[in-house]
Amino acid sequence: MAAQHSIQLPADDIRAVWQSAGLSNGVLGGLRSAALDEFLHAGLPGTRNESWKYTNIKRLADELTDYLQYKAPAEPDGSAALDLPDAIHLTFVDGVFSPERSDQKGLPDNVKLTSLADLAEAEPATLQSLFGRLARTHDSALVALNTAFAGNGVALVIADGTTLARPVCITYRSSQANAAAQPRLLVSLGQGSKATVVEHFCSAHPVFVNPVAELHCAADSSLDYYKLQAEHAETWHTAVQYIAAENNARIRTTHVDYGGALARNELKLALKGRGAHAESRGLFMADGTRHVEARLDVRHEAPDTTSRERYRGILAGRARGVFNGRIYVGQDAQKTAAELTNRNLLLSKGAEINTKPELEIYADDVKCAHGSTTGQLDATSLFYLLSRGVDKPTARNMLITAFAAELLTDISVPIIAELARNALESLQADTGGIRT
Amino acid sequence: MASKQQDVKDLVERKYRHGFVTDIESDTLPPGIDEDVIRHISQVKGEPQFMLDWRLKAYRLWQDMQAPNWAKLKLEPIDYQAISYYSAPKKDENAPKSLDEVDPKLLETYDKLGIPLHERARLAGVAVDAVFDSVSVTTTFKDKLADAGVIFCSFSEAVKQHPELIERYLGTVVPQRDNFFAALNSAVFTDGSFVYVPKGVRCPMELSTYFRINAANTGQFERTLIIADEGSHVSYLEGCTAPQRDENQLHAAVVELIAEKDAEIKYSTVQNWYPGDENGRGGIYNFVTKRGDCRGDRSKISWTQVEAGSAITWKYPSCILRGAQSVGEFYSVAVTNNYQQADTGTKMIHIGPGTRSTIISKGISAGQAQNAYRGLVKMMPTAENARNYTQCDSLLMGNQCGAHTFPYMEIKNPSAIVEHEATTSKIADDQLFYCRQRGLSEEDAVNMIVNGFCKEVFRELPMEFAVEAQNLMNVSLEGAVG
Repeated sequence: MAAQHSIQLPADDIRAVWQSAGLSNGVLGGLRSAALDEFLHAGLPGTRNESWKYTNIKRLADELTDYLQYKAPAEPDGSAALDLPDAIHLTFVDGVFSPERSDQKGLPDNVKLTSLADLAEAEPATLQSLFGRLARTHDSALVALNTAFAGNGVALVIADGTTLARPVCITYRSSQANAAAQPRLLVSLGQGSKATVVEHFCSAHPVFVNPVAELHCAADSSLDYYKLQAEHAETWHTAVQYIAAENNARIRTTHVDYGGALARNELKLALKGRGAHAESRGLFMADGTRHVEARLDVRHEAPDTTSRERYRGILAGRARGVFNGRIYVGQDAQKTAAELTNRNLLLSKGAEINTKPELEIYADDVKCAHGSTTGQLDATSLFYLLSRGVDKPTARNMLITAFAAELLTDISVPIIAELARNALESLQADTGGIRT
Repeated sequence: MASKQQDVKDLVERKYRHGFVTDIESDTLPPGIDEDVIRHISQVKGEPQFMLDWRLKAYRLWQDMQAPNWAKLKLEPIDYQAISYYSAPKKDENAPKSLDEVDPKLLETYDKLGIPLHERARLAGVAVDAVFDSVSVTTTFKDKLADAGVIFCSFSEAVKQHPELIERYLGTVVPQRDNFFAALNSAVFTDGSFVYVPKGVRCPMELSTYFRINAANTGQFERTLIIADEGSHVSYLEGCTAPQRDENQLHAAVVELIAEKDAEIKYSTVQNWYPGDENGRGGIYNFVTKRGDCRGDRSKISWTQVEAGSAITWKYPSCILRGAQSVGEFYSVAVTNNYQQADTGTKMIHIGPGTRSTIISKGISAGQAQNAYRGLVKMMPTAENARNYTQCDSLLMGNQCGAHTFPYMEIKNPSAIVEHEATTSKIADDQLFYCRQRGLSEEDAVNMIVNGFCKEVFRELPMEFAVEAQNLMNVSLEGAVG
């Protein structure tokens, strides 16, 4: 029985596909099986569901069984890893960790990097404590789907007091069309540790990518997280990241989204310990008929927690953008300060943005604010540049770049800023019939 | 024999069925709703056929609808068959004969609110004839309005006197199928107000003045229709600051405003229904559908509301900005204390080019109350150069209450500019300290800060009401400080 407002799915077919893929075995078999039941019970969310109001995945639902059909990963195509010489590079192909394409050498002793399969054999208890520690299958049908079909993922465990100076860069590639990728990344930062994690999604085929990442940051730890979504133009991408911060942990997240036919990213950030601080920024852009959605759910659950969220969207052509940012302040989270801004730029007549910044506050001694603006390029600024002899395309490009610039400074992985700027340039070509 | 008995039984039942219609002399219908109840209401009110058909259509739609559950409200399901849908206006016999017979606590509140003496009696339900001759006052106003050509009467009167206007405009802004409560209202509404301001007329007075003197017991399902024809102007005030006691727990009103070319409607509401006691028992459920349609170019509709009462408030006064350069405004103060819950806000639908809207919403939450702003700003592809500015501020008093903001913005035109900002905070300790240091009591200091917080909205109210609204704020938040 599908839940209310959800899309009907061929439950028997999906169950058969799941069984034939042998996912009921191993340490995670029970978890997967329960998640499958939950997924089939919930069904994929329809647009009557409040958090899917503007994002319609009916077509994905129609093709889901085909996507889920097991296909053994082959040699991946397309773009290789990001140009980060000192990084530890890991590769996933079709959602499955590929150790032979990953470099696990030269890691400090107190940093453990293992595939989930190896971890299941060596330390099943550790795996069970990490897998599903933050991600809840009842949060969303897609998290349940990822759990039910999760292949071999990766776990990164950093011991207390360890600083991992080299960034960990995970590249998610594809080897064939119509495959479904359900990658799972588990990160655990010990007390006082430090790490930089980069996730790079760059499918070369039209696929369905449904990743879930769980990052737990113990007290006094510091995480710098980047996600670059540059999927194939016909790919479905629905990602969720769970990040939890204990006492005085510092979190910084940067999201850059410019690929996919339909791309949705959900960041769930829980400030669980006193004094935890998070800084999140996101740049989402789309042209053509793409659909991009950025969702943010920041929960202040402890006193003295602070957060700042800055998201910007640029929509060209007939693209559709969705932003939803929620700041939740629980009753115990006194002395919370939170500030969220969302600014959107519509570059052409057919472009559209639906934005909803939310505040949900149950504590009184707080300072919370959100702001959102939407508009087109400022005519006065444009005129100023033209009057100085700058030609129109260059002038527009300058203004668009300036709009995005605030989010692209202070990036410890400079290649991401560079790729984002390139994407901006190609974006501005698609301006439809805009009047300037 | 058995067949004879059956016949007798049928006969008895049939008689009862007819009796149901003929015995209507009684004041109140038994609880429950069905088509007979609606026919009865329509008959009692002497309505033409088109009204009955309209009501029945609404009722049939309503039967297939479900009460909305998306609002941030916690309430027990309402049993719609347990409500009586018609009750004749109360007779004056049981009313107190003079202010001496009125509950002194109520009088004390009037005093705090600074309500003029001659109005207190009416508000307390003292039989009007016993106090002063309101008829003469009413007549003066009526003459003045008639001279201007303004039609202002009860809805039932309008149905009889101006059926062509009713037929033309009723349900054109809020159709019967709009939502669950609007459908219910359309089926069973008993009375309300009707205003028609003809072309080019500036209504010579605030219709509030008249209303306060003439307000009838309109019951729990109120229907208001205001039409401002080309180039006209009208200001209407509904409700009043005085606490109003009402036995009906469910209120589902519908208000429709229509502004033609160059017309302007200003609609102000002060709502102070019984909010329930300190423990959240009792209180009015207020589910209101209010919508204005700026049909003509350069028309303007402005909503101002001060929501202080009701256990549950579900209300989103909206503007459909259809005409080019039309303007929509929404100014709101919502105060919740104890166990009150409010989910209120507005919708601004920009359709015409150059349309503008402003939303200023102030929410104050104290005690165990939950206060949510929910708003939608929609820029349609046709809304060239449209503009919106939204500001939502929330003030929290006490650590058991909640303040929430859910603004939706849907923008489909690049030349439109939409701005939204929201803040949530408590009264800063340093502000309070400053006032205390200047010799103000804590309560006075809080009142002063709260009034400052709401100032942008209060100044939109007609002057004498602004003063009362300020006092209302202080009374509503009594006991919330400290």
